[in-house]
Amino acid sequence: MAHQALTEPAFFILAALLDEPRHGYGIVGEVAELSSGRVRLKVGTLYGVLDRLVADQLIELDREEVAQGRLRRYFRLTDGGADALVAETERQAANVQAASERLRAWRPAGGERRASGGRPASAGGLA
Amino acid sequence: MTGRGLRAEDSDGSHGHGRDSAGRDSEGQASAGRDGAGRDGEGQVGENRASAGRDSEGQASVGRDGGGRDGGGAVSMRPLELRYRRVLRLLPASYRSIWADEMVATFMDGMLDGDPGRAAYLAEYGRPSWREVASVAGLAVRLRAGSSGGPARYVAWGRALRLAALIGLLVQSAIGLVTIGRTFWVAGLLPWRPRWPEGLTYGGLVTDPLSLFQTYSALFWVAAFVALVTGHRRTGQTLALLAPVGVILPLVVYGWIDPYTCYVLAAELVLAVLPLAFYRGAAPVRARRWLVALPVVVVAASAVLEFVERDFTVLPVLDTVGLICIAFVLAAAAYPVAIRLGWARPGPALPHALALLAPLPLGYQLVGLLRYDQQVGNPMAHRLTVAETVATAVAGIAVTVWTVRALRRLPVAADRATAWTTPS
Repeated sequence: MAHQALTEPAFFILAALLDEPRHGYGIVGEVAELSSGRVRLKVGTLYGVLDRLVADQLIELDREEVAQGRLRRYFRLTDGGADALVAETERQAANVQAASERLRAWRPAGGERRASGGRPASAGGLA
Repeated sequence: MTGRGLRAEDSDGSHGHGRDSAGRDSEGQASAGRDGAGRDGEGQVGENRASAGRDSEGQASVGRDGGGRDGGGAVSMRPLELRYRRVLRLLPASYRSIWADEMVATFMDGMLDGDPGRAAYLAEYGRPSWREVASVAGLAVRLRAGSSGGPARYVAWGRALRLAALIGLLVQSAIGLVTIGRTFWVAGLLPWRPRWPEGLTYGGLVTDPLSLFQTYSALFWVAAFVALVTGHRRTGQTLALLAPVGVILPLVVYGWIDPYTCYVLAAELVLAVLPLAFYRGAAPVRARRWLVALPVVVVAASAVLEFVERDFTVLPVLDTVGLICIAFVLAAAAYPVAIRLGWARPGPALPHALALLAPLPLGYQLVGLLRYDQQVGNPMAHRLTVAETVATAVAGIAVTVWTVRALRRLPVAADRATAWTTPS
């Protein structure tokens, strides 16, 4: 089955659950670490994505605990979630490969940009 | 130092503790203890569920539960938590009853993780950032617009909003295409049509750039409609949000701040926002029937208008708004008949969508009536406009009553095992 492309938060949440079940704040921290601090999930966003991932059966409840008087629900990745993560990773890898090949053609290892179609290299350069 | 400054620091400094939940727990416990939020930790899940149920009922009980669970009995909830729970009241009660406690825990962990002194200050004086509030508000909107697995009543709301969005875009697109077709006709670009009658004024005749822009900006609606029904959700939403520029630009340039123009703008803004109900994961649209509907409506509307206009004395009687009103009344009346004949599935979506849209044609007519009064216009046109308005109002009230009754029969608790439900 072809998986729908995952949003970035969903992608990182699935990745965060690969090694072990985590609760809400554990997921927030792991996602921040996986993304080098770039993706910082707000609580409403987190639970919106969790809601959708549970509905799509990509994650499921692992257990509930109460720590320091606060309820923690731990989520774990399902087989479907792992498949979706693999598919998304492969899709992104293919994108990276395609773009990398174009970049190599555009700027070969020697340093000179190779203009295509006779266009001067300086005309279409990145600002 | 302000609370805002502290929040920023807290947010920035919270990542280093992300990996190890046990470590975080112990840190959280230390800060929670200092904050007076409790020390003696482990409770029973069953008890917590019970407290979660009470949580949805109000903050007073939340405070009592929180204090009891956290070990003090008389220890009240910290102001920061109270403030966040107040934000969570944006969420549907049935969702809140299951998820509020955990969302609070996640939020408080994020805010109070780190330096104990700062945590104590934040617990007392901190506030949820506007981004946190926005994320909860966004979740509340999506849940109420029928997020998958949600209670049947909210799912019904979502279907109705999306149907209303499509009907609204269809009508706007059809009006736009009919108008553009007439400008072509007036300009003699439709050789198979008889010549446009001399002396008959028509809005499409104006050739100043802004009026032409206003006419052709209707193509935004057409493009938004096509994009939305063919599954290009983001494109459709963006185009719909751009579409009111056709009203906004002349309004800004000419300063047309009259009630009619303002109403048209308000109505278009409503129609522009409705497609946002097509959130990611919403049920796909049956594209073919909607794509067929657009040319059918355009041809039918053009034919009716031309038929009426053969006798020019009745030209003002049935304009496009009048036509929409008649279509609205016919749709509202035909629905119960179609169900009885088995041609339509019984369900609240169509009457609910019509109820949501009813104020738009009704408002057009009422504002238009004001203009007729000011202009001392054609008495026959005035009488017919009043009749159309009354009929639209009656039909609108009927579908609204029907919708309210139907929605009351639908549960507000989820019936499927998804995140909305108690997940165990």
